[in-house]
Amino acid sequence: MDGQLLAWWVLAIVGSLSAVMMVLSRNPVHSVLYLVANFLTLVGIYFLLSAPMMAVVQFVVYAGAIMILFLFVVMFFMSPEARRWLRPEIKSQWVFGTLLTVMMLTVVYISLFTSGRVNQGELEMGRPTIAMAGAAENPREELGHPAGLGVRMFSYHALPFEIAGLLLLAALLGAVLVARDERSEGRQHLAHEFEKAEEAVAEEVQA
Amino acid sequence: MIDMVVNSVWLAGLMFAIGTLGVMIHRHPVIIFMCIELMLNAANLALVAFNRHHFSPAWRTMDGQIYAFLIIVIAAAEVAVGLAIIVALFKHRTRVDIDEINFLKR
Repeated sequence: MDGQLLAWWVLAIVGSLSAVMMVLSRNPVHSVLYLVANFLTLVGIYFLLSAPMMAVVQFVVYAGAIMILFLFVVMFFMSPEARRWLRPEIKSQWVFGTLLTVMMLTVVYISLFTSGRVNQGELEMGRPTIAMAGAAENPREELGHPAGLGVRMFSYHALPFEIAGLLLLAALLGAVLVARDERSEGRQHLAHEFEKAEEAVAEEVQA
Repeated sequence: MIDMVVNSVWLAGLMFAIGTLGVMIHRHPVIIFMCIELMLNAANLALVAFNRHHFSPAWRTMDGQIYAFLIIVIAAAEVAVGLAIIVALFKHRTRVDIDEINFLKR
């Protein structure tokens, strides 16, 4: 077993354990932190799969930005006495949830196992090793090189890129619209009504 | 090295299943949302692993990593909107339970 495979196993075991702990944890803040740990192990696995650009994006966007959002929501809006909601109300929810998950995992693994056996010859024949994946005359053609990714992204995948940008804009506006404070608008409305009432009273007094 | 690629796909399946388990046994929307993020990341891991598998000197493809990148963008948009909806729910209700949230309009 070489060093990279050993590192992969360490990362995979830590990642799986943190994912399980995220599901089983009773404290939502602990859940967020376990998920961050899982994403950080994914960063390492992306590096091992020669995807350095993906690893950095995972680190900055997922483990950084998105999980901070989750942490903010949990810390702002979940009071300690809200813990009781974390328990399933129906006792059999655990049983059926676990049963369905095991069934799904079995189906996925059976399909992986059979397809792995079918492709075994292809797997062992002439597929590039990690060392070979980096060996190109032009470094831009190495797997996961940011320059190569950028060229491909802005030429062949330009339309999905533009659509993703539009979607981000729409999501930004939608998030502001949904989460805006309607109570302050209610107060403004009330103030407006108040002004009208005052005007009416003033008119009556004048009359 | 092939070991690592194949193992990564198995790990992606396991992570997806753990995310499914969390979605099914939890009742709090934020936790369920986090489990959905875990499932998205499992799909991303599978994409990157398959990209590593199919990359060869004859066919220098990076499309799997680009798909994973676009999925991260979509996930960021989804998190922004989803957390906004959850924040709006927290503002209007004292009790936020996924079993009781069956309409979004007051």
